[in-house]
Amino acid sequence: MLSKERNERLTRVGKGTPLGELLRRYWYPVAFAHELDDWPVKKVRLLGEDLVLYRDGSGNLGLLHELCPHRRASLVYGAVEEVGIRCGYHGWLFDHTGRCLEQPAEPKGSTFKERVTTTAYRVQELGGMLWAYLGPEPAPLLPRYDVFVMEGLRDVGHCLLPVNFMQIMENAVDPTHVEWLHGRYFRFLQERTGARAGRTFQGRHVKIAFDVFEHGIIKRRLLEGQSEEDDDWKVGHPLVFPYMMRVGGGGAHQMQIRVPVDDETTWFILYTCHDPGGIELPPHDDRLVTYEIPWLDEKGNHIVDYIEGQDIMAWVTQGRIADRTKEHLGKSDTGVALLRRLVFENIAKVERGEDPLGVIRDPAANVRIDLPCERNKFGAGDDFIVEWIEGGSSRYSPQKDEILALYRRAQEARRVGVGA
Amino acid sequence: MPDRPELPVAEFRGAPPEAPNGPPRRTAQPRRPGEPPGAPEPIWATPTSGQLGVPFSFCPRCGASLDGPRAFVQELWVSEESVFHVWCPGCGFVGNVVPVHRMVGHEAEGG
Repeated sequence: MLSKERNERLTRVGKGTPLGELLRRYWYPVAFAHELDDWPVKKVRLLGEDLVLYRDGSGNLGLLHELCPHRRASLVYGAVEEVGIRCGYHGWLFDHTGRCLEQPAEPKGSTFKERVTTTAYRVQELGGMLWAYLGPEPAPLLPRYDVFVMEGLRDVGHCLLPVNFMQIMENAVDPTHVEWLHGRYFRFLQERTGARAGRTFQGRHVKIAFDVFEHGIIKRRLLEGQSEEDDDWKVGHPLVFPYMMRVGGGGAHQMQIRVPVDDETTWFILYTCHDPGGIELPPHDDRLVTYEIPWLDEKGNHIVDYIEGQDIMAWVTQGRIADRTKEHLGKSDTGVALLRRLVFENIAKVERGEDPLGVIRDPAANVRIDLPCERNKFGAGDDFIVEWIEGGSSRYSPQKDEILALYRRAQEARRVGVGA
Repeated sequence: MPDRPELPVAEFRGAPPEAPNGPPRRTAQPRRPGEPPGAPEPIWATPTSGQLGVPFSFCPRCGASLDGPRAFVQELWVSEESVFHVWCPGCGFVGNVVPVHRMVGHEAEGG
């Protein structure tokens, strides 16, 4: 168990809280870039702050406090101008730095506008997403993790979940849940409902280990029948501190992103880049293919016949903020304990005025950050990717068939290549 | 027909480990006259609270207080032991503190 006070420290993300101050040292995706092509203004909530995101006529990306400092109407219903966004109520105009440029109803020559500013945050685009930084200056670099900059067919599922993001992060350092939640429970469903349980998720864990490295925690597993030379142990895959996890296998490269919207809400994004290798990728553009992942059925029950739906069930049923004073951690939960400790250590770093784990300031180290990730996942070879797509959230992708065809072509090319 | 020996209503096979909230609740009812002996009634478990409390207050290295929320103390249950994973914000000590209730000197392998 964890004390109530420590559970609060571990989970509260608002401004001024210890964790909130730590989290404000990182960049977060707040929108897909194409959303502003469709409509140039979007309401955003991040780390408990209500904001308005927009792209003006000059291409400036702005992220301001949602409410106009004049009479507190929402700028989400503002008009985008060549420079800045104009409040729909009385026409006050703000640029992306938070300066007030115009107050059209004030007397001509008034200097009132020079005495008014609003909260403004930095925004950058990377990998087809718009990222925000809500922390103090100087802002660190937006990390160019491999998945966001590599070539490949992009496929992005997402959903908004009523749960604190830390519960989702704890799942990322909990390897044994795979054989039970995606193994035994999936088989149970298969026996009774015909749901198709993937064979590759059934392996029994013999050993698990965790190593802290410069971007977070590398998670390793040794499954029954494997040796320490297998990818799952030798390479593993990382929790990217403090809110992402890099996974994949067989040509799929995925970043699982858990954006802390507020204390009790997380924007869950599965950002996948498919590149099986050995074949030419089909033509594709930079606009992301995005789709919502359903997780409740029409009766309000969890949809549990796919991998991420099972994960979501576990996270959400723990409660909006899990009561860790009532839990019982065992030896198989050492990764969870390590993550929590890392959070506490890095809160203290921020309190001392230091950069926390994973913050990058050296441009030379940020050209492309290749994260370790096993390729031969679960030792399952080509079977893994097919089961991952058909038994996971990619089943809801509008381009699922194209993705599966891509892997079949790559497998065929390898077979022919080997036979030649 | 010889009388069958009276069976206990519930049979203990060794003393169960004591739960943190006290001994398990025993709910078996006595048999009514003439009622045949059936399967032993189960002993219903009392939920563990997980609230064992941290049995120490200071860092084993520097002696700083670990009572406040800035220090990290996480209880883990490992077999019969409670292990407290500790990080001290004062000196950075990371380690496990294990309260010992019984000194075990030797266990035969495969025994």
